[in-house]
Amino acid sequence: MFIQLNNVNKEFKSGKNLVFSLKNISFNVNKGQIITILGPSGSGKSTLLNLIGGIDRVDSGDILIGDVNISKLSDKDLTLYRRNKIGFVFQFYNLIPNLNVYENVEVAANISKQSLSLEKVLDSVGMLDKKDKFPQELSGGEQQRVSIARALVKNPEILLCDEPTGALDFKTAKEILMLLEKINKEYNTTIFIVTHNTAISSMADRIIRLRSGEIVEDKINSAKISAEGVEW
Amino acid sequence: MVLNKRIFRVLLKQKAIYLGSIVLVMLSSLLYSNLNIAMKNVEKNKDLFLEKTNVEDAKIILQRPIDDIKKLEDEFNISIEKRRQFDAKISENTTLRVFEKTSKVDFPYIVEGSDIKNSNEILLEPNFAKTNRYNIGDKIRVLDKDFTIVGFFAMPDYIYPLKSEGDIMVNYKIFGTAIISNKAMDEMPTKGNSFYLLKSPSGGLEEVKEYLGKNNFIIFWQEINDNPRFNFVNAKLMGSAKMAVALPAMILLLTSLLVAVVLWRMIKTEFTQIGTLYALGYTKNEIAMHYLSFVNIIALTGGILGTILGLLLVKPLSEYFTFYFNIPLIDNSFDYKYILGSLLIPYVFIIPSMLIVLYKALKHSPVKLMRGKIETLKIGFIEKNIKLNRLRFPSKFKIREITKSIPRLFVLIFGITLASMFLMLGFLYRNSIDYLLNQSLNDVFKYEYNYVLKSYEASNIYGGEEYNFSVFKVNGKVESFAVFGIKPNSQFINLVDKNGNPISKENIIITKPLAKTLKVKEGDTIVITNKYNNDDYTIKIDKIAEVYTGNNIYMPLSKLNNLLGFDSGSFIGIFAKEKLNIPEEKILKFETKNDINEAFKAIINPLRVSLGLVSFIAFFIALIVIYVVTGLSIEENKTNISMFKILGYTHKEINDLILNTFTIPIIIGFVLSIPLLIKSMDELLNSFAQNVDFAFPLKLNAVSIILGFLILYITFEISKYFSKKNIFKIPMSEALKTQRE
Repeated sequence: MFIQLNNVNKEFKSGKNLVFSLKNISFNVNKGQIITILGPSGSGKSTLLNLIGGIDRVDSGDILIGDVNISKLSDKDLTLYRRNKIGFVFQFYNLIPNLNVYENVEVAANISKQSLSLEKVLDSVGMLDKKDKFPQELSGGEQQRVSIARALVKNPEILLCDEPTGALDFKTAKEILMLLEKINKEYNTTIFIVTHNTAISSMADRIIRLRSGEIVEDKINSAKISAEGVEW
Repeated sequence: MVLNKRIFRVLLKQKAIYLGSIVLVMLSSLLYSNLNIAMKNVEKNKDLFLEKTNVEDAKIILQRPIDDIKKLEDEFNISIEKRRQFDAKISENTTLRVFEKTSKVDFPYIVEGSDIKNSNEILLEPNFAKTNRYNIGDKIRVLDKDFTIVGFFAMPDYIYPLKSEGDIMVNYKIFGTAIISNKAMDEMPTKGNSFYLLKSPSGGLEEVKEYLGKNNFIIFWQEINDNPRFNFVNAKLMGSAKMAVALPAMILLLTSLLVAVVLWRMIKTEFTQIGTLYALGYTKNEIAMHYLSFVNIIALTGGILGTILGLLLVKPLSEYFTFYFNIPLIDNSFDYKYILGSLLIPYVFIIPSMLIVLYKALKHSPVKLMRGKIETLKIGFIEKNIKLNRLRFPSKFKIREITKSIPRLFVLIFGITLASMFLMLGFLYRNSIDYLLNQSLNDVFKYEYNYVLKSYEASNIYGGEEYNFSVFKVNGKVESFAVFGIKPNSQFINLVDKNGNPISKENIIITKPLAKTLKVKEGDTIVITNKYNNDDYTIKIDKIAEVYTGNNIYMPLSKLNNLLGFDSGSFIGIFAKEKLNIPEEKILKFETKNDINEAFKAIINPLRVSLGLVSFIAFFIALIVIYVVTGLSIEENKTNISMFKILGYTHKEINDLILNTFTIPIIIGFVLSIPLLIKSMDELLNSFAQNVDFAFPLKLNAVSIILGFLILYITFEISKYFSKKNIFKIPMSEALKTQRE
């Protein structure tokens, strides 16, 4: 197994009470899979993504990536884990406004030892011809492409996408999904997609559904279709 | 307004930034109120003092005594009083200049204790007494006679008690003044010198001068405004008065820019709220008043604190000034208009910059503001056109960050330049004095002893090297300077040009400060007027000498004598390497090279406090400016920093990207400060150089520059240390939760 979650719990404070954000979460994922995590707001989707991405820590339980238990890593090692293994794609892109497209991707390449060619990555997301543009000069879809290129350039083993199409129109959203599918195939990258949009799960190998911090459904998608065919 | 309830919450949230602004306002109010009030206080006390002591109009030495003073007084409607004086060594290094008490002109003002009644009583100059630990009631031995100190005094023609007129700084450790009774003076074993003190309430000094020139022979004529012991105080006060306006103004300008940048940032993050308030029906003025409350708090708190501190420090500063100048504090009261000014001036500076920023935001429609973006589509010209392809990413990021906000960059550079100027002031002063002492003074004047005789002599039987001099003026330009006649093969005066090459003493040579004041070049012809007889002479300046002390012209001895109509070998002074055996009664003035060196060395000591204070202010300004600008940058980059953390950047890498961004602007600010400091100090010194007989060669050596930069760099590191904590506190969730502004 490439990723293993064993009895992962995460609590948060609500007033004076402790509330479970994630409760007894356990699942395994093989390398190169696309996994969609579905669920309503507050179900713990983003928390789960943050734990796998090493930007938050479990209260109890283990998360194993390969043979490394990241819940036991020091802050310094966790930073190195994020640096070497993880790529993030956010709903609102989080590009640096005063850096151009090329430089925004370079932000990630700068700290990676195994980074891919910037030109090649920009070409694969279809943004090479706009590499001198600034984020303000791009459409939402283009900005998300840059954001994906930034995640991809580090050649991460895991790509974590939090509502990657949440701020996009249907056509652009579909282009982004196709891009993610292409990356998955080309680089054998394991991709987690957190979304409200149940239709997106049809392109995933695996569908995990959360409600109030608990897994209510975890199934292999036997009717997987290509991203191009996803409709909503 | 209910909205105002949040003011303190906002201030507390970013307390360091607002506290920094308040401290800067406080600093400028403090300087403004303190310097101006103390200055006015000294000025007012000086005028009162001069009035009470009937200050002379001129002081003269004649070849023969005046036979009938009363007759002369009646004829010209003036007061004339003869005053005898002598110098006495009271220890190996300390000289006391003892005067007899006068009753018509320049009479002493008793600062403490009582006046002299008996011939065994003496008055001392208070700063000399304090420095050398003499108290009232103590005995002091002067030329083998014991005197009891009965009081301390101030004398109007010795406000700045220089030992020699060529000195530029008092040194109470080695020189002081005292007053004894006429009877005691009669009883002293030395005859000393005597001056006539002239007071002409209705003018008419020129007629007296003409009369004495015809019927006697004037050896020395010095009007009060040419007396450095009197006019230094004016020069110093004038310089300080300029500082009292310039310093607070510069700091306030910096503060207003800083506050404008800080509040613009705050308003930018609050566009949505402002738009909502607009939509709710708030008027522009109501919203503007709310944001002006922030400025009001900064200006009011800083103004009040600064004014209070300034007032508390008026007495120490006045005392400090009066330590410099022996002026009694007769009336120690405050000038209230400066208190009001000190409270209001911060507003004058800060409110306009704030209004500009506010209306820049408020001119937009509520909808536009509510969207939270009014400028995001704009890409700056520099951002767009700067080519960074060949650089590594950290350099690219830093350059982008620097060019992101030009106003912020300007504030940073301006702040650092200002702070560095303050910081380097002490170094500039120290290096300049060292240079003056070593490169200029010791290299130029090779004599050890300098004698000025009471009358002109025709042949030198004493040894050494004779010289002559007379005092001249250039109408409308310079009131007083000396023209020396020296031997063309002089061993004791060594004049060099700006390249360090020796100048032949066959030439007519002008010193650099005088050339500067008169605006003459080599080869120019000038008309000089003898101060004693008003005769005009035309001379051609051959060379300019790189000498900073002395408003002097040097020419061959025979040439000067010829000009003045004297015998070609006439002289009044002698330079010597060894002590000469000249009868004491023939000597008007005697100075050693050591005295001059000591006076120079003493310059730094009394200034230590003020230079230390200025350096301290510099440190604070630099710290506040760097911290506030870095703080703004961190605030603006919150999401980026969070994102860097998510991407796997280490703290060290993030600190480097964010905090080291401003290294280059800080270096630029520092580099700019050096020529600006030299230029501004040059202007300041020039503005009162005409009254003072020296010019400062403004020098800064490499060691001082490196040291200054090191101090600035340490300040930068301290600011970074505090900022690191703020960067560390930014959570990774910041990037996840927010949509970009």
